[in-house]
Amino acid sequence: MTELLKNAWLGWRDFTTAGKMAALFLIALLFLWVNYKKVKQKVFLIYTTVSAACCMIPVTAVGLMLYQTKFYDYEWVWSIVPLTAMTGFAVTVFVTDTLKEFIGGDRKKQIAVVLFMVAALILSSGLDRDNRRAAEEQAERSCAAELLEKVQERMGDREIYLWAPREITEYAREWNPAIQVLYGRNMWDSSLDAYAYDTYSDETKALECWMEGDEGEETVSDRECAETAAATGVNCILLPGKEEKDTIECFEEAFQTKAELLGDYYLLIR
Amino acid sequence: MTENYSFADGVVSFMIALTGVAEAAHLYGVFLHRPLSECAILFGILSALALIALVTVAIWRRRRRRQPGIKGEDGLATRVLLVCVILLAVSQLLYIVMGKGVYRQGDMTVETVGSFLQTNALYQVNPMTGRAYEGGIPSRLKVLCLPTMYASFCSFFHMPPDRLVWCVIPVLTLAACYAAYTCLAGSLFPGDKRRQLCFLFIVALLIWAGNYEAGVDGFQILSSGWRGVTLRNTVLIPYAISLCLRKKYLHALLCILAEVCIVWTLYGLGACLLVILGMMIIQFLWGKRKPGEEDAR
Repeated sequence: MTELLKNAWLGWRDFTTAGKMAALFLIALLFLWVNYKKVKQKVFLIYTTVSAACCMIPVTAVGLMLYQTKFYDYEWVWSIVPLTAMTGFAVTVFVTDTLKEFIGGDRKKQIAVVLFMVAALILSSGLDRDNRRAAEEQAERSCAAELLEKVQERMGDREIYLWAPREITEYAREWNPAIQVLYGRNMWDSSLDAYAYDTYSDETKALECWMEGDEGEETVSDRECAETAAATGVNCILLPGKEEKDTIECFEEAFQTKAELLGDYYLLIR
Repeated sequence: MTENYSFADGVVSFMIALTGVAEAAHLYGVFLHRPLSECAILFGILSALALIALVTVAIWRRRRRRQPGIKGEDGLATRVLLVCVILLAVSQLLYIVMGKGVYRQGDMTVETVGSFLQTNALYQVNPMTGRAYEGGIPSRLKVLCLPTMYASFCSFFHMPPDRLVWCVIPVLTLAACYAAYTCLAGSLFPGDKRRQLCFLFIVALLIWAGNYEAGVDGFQILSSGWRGVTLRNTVLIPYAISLCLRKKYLHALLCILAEVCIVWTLYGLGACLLVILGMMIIQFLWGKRKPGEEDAR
């Protein structure tokens, strides 16, 4: 329970830190309550206020988190709050009713205030959204696709059971669902584990650590790694081009084949 | 359409109907172990029937009772607002089609759809590895129908799963989202076209402004429009609220059912149910207040 309460509190903090849409929403609610008599859709206003309060108070937020299942994080409890609709409603009421009362029929003033509000709205969002990761992903995807096309050419009609570094494995199944991989994206994106009861063996995890150059719980020698990989049944391996010559020889021996340099990677097919 | 129903209602209702028929086709495939190609044909036939039924009902109701024209001046401001809304919607559409903001963390829809198409079967291999399941998948997840719907579209239009899932479906979701908010605008400002358009303009701005973090409507619609939670938050919930404001609770029940088919909910008790129940209770309590109590203040 303490853990859930902590998640609810931290979730609310994160929700309000990155962008200021939540703050804008609260201002919108406050504005409507101040102008309560003018609001025609009172049921909508009351419902939104109650649901927002339930999401903000840690105890009720925990209840909602349990209700929505553990599959989803805190931010999803806000699904029950019509945040966009209520903010839009409040701004519309402000622009079409309150603004007229304050500044009368002066068109220039009206346009100036509306432009100011649009600017405030844009500034209240997280303008600093990092699109670099998406651009990097796109570049990585096209590199992987190019390489996988060459691999497929070499393999001909044979089925591919691939063991490759993360930057290739990540996109292999999206590029061609016929390709089988030793481990998928869920090896490093744990949120994907909820979609199946399957788990990876310690051996497979050790192979992933070796491939990425991570120091796992136990150090695996190149020879051991090559033998374990051969035992898994993979018929196509991509090794980073920076690997030592001895390492490549271990794999050539285990797979009884010759490595071919393909771009930045060594390709071994058996 | 008539009796408080508009073309926008038709668009969202068709989306809900598509979800329903996709669920039927999906369950047919999962429980009777039928190939995807059969499920796709079934989905196609049922979708066509749903469309015919919807159009027939619309024509029949239109004949029965003509909708009174929307009041409010159709002046310059209204036209400017309409153009602004269209421009914003088109800019969002272009952003989606360019695919610069695709957010795929925690999502494997493309791999799942690809697996269905590759094996011509539902959930025979683990989408992550392409190998047979060892432990299987949670049964609640197994009954969600979106992958089957997307795989059926892929097979109809011979389109690769990534293009369909990351480009085409989010565009359709965006269209359904605007349809849902049009319905909501009609419920919030009945008969006032200028305010309805002003509301839609603000919503369009909020969608752009919210494109910064997972969980915010703007981000969901612009960066992950194919997900069940996006459909729920940006289409079903605004539409359910609009139906509740119009006191069309039976129709609102369809939103609950649609959510059950596309989102991992607790025994089918999802967010739409909470929203509709909340609105109903408040509406009931509000109705019990003494008449004129509000005016006396």
